[in-house]
Amino acid sequence: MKGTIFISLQEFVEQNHGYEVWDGVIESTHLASNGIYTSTKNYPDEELFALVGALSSKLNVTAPNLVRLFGEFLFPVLLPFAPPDAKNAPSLRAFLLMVDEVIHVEVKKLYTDSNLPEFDYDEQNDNELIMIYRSPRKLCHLSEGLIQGAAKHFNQPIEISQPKCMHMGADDCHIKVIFND
Amino acid sequence: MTDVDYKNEFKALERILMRERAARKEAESELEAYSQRLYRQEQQYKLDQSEIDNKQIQLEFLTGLLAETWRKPSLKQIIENYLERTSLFMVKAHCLFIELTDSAVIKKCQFNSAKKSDAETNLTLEFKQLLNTLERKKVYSDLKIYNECKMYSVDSITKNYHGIFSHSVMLPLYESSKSSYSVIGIIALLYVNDNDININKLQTLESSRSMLSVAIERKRSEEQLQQQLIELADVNQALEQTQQQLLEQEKLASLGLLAAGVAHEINNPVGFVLSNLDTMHDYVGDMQNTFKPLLLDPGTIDIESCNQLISQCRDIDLPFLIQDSQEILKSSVEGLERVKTIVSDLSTFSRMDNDELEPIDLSLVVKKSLNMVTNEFKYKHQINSDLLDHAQILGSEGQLQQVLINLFMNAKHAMQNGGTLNIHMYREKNKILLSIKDEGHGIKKEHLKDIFTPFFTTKAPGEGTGLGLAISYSILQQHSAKVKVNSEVDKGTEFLLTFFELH
Repeated sequence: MKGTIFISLQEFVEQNHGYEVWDGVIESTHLASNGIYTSTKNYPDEELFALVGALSSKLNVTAPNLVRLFGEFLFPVLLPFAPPDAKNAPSLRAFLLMVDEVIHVEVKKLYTDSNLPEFDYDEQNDNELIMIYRSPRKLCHLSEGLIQGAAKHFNQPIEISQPKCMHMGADDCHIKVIFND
Repeated sequence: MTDVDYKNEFKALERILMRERAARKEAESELEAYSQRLYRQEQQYKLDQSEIDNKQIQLEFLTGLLAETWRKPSLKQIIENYLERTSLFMVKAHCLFIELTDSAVIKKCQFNSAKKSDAETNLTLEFKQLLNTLERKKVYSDLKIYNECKMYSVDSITKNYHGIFSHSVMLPLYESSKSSYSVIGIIALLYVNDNDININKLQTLESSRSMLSVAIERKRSEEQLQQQLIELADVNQALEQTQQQLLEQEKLASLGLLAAGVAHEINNPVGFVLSNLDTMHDYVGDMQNTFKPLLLDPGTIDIESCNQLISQCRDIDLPFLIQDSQEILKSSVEGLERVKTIVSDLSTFSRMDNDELEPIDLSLVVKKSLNMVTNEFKYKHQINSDLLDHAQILGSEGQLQQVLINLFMNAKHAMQNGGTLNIHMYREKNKILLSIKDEGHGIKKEHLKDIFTPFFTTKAPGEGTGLGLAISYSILQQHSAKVKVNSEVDKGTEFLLTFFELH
């Protein structure tokens, strides 16, 4: 996991819950990095999971909810790095459809060592989109939060649900986005 | 907030700050490493770029060479162009071309004389010195064995050389064998300093060698072909001359064939004209004696002498003499007319060089030709001719006469034991057909297709040239006449000639 995600998580925690909470989880989790992160370096996924676990119990929030909120926070941080086509997308739907084929392709060019999730799309209905998420990290809730952040950016009210989820024993996660117009 | 709270918050902030500092240091050292990587990449990029530039120059050299080599008109210019391009490409080498024989003789020597300056003149002297001290046999045998680029220190291939060059690369371009010696064409690159030798460029030069060899090989065969073409043209001309001579010979042969007959034809009238004149001589003598007294003195003529004259006239049968003289003179004139006709026909025949086509009467030509051969048919043969009154065609009288005489004589030869030659001329639409038919032995089926082939003959060696019908055929073709041959063994042969009638 890239350092930039850890740094964003630190900002998210500090802004919403204060320095001490962040310092507290760093002190209590005994990570290999000692909580020292630079944006371009890679850090073990386990560090993120340990931090999320510690935060969830300290703040008394479920891990999925915590990760969703963090995703929403993360979106405007990542957006400036997206390719112009994606930034200028005409709608949320168009933007989401570009995630796999445009955005992740560009990220791969810059960071060949990055491990990105794969998305397939099910676009049977006009007013909904099912994004099929596959990643060994099982961070589907982070995706949900990012989609929520994107919806805010595009000013598009949505409802998100996961009829299928790897955390519930499925092979992949079906993130269903309903566009409320 | 209590003091403890403040203290805790302060401690937390302190730790966060420490982590931030550590992160910054890490980021900075990361940045440093990145900058260094970037620098190294830039160096590599520059290296690659200069490599690409080199390759570009090499490619330009090869493609330029390729494009120009094929366009050069001669071997000398191909080599000149190669020298020029090589000197431009191998900036620091001096280039020289030599052709070296197996007996260590330098047959040819060329160098790039594009820029003639003082330095160049000195260079010429340097080249001369090197070539004069070169161990040619060693270089020849080396290049013959290896047949590839070879690098030498100049000392190793010269004796007592004191010039400016220290190293040389020899590039064999081609090898060729003449009847008495073999040669190798060599490009010699001469270096003053061995640091100037660029192996990459030499490799490029080596790869240009095979292309050049092919081009040289092709140009050489082209030049050979050109030479062969010239020789071929000579042979062709000789052949044409021979053909012309053969045509003349054939003409002479047919003339010779006719000479005996024609001589007889002329001898006959000349014989009887002579004997007639002899008789006339006697007649005139008799008459002179009889009438002599009348010429002496007309005054002395009396009755007696008149009676004597009358009696003498009776004695010599004067009425008969006068009548016979007239007949003798008439027959002599006729005899001489016949001689005149034959001589005139013979002269049209001998004038047959004139092959311009003009309006002629084919019937007349047939008649004239028959006149020439009548004698040949006099004893054992008969001639039946049925001609049209007028048959105007476009033709050459002399040439057609040659054809007809040839056909008539062939017919006679086919009828060794006698027979009839039937000549029939008739019209069909706008065409004149002439059938010449004999009752001879005929032509075998397998020979029919060959009868118009030059030198084909069934006659014994020395009797026929085998050109008669071939020439006749080509003459008839010039007349746009069609020839059809119908032949049956032991029955006879018909030549059917078809001409366009002129209106």
